[in-house]
This record gives sequence, C-alpha cells and structure tokens, in this order.
Amino acid sequence: MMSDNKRLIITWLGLLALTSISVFLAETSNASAITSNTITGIFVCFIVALKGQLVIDHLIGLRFAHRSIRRVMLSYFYILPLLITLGMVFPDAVVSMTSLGN
Amino acid sequence: MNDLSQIIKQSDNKKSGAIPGDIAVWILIFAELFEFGLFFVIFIVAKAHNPEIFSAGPQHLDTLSGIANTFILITSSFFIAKAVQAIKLGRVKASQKWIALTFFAGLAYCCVKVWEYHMNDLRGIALDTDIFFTVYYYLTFNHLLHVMFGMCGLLWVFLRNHFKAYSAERHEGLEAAACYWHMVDLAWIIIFPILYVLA
Repeated sequence: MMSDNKRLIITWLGLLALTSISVFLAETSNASAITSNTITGIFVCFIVALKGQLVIDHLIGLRFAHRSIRRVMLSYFYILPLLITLGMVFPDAVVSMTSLGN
Repeated sequence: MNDLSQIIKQSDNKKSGAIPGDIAVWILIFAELFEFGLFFVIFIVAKAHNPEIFSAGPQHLDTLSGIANTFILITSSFFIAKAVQAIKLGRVKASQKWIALTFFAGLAYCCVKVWEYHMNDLRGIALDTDIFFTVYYYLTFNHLLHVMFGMCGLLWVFLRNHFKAYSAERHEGLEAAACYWHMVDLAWIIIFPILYVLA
C-alpha cells in the first residue's frame, strides 16, 4: 500500500504534469483550424476534470471521507468542464438559448 | 510515536468517513463554488455570443503569469495537505512549517497577479477594454480576494498552531482552513484554462 507521503508527492507531480500538458496542447494546436481548436478544448476540459478529481480525492482527502461531500465536489468538476466543452462545440445552441426575442 | 502507530492512525482517519474540517466550512465552500460556477456560466454565454473577442482575448494575456500562478497554487495545495498530514501524526513543528510555506506561496500568487495586472495596464488593457477583459477582471480579481481571505485563515491557524491549539486528536480548525485553501486552488484549476489557454 502506498504511503500517504508518497501519494501526496505523486499527486502534486501529476497535477504539475497535467497543467504542462494542457498548456502544450493549447500552444501547439493550429489556431486557425476550428476543428483542431475544439479537439484541444475537449482535451483541456478533460484534464480540468482529472485535476479536480486528483485534488478532491488525494489533497483534500475526500476519497476516504464523507461520501456526499465527495459526490457534490466531483459532480462540480464533471459538470462544469462538460458545460464548457458543450459551449465550445455548440456555441449557436448557447446563443439561441440565451437570446431574448428572435 | 513509532511508525506502526502512525500508519494505524492514518488508516483510522481514512476509514472514518468523517467530514474534513467541519460542516460550516463546507457550506461556505459550496457557496463559494456556486458563485464561481455562476461566473463560469456567464463566461460560457458571453463567449458564445462574442466568439471573435474571446478567441483573441487570451492572446493578449501573459500566459507565463497564468502558468506560474497555477504551479504556485498547486504547490501550495500540496503544502497545506502536508500540514494536515503532519498534524494528524502529532508533528506540530512540521505542520507549522508547511502552513508557513503555504502562506508564502499565497503571497507569491498575489505578487504574480499584481505584476500581471500592472503589465496589462502598460499594454492598455483595462476592465472596459472589451467583454473578454471584463469577465477576466471580474473572475481573476474575485479569485484574488478569495486567495487573500484564505491567507488570513492560514495566518490564523498558524498562530493557533504556534500556541499548541492543534494536536493529532484535535485539528478541525486547521483542516477547515486547508479545505478552504484547496477550494481556492480548485477554482483556479478551471479559471486558468478558460482564460489563458482556450483561445
């Protein structure tokens, strides 16, 4: 079984690595290509959800703590990146849903 | 305290299913995350209505400041997790050291943010430049205020720890401050990519 100390260090390094990966993906994606940007955005949002789960489970330590609090926190980090992704993929739908009149 | 008893204590904490800190701090955390959630929804809607402005916006920001602050906040979250781990093992001095490191990481975040705002100012970027920068300033300044509030909490638990208020058995206050600090980090985990990365 991994010690608490080792788990914290691995989580910390994992978070730094995921941040670097998301920046690298965004910087190397073709800014002029809409498809490339959207795919990069989906990857970045996935990384956000992953980072959120790492902090919630291992740094806050909710993995073995109160289940309901963990569920609410994890939902936040699954729903918001999903909304951001949907907003990027279907901007017209967001515009039509949030416009007054025709 | 020998290693075996430390491992048993850690294992007991893991299996307890208890609330880290206390319920009051979690109500505060949920309220804060709801507030940030509203800002994120506003961001999504504003971006859908103004795609060109939101595509150009991140290119005017100093990405390096955003990356530096992300690394600083993630590291500070690691520091405060170490502080909680230390106090659970009854290591008051070690816990004190980790709290101090977390506080200084928060201070470093504030310095980078002030420098970033200064650089924006030199480039002629202001709150009313366009809708992207209005959202950017609302989100980042609001987050900066939360960081400063979290630092006040850290200072408080540092002093309480200094006067031996926390022990391996009683450390709810320190855990509560740590949970709040993690919330500040969690909010930034979403703010950073949407403002600095996703053009």
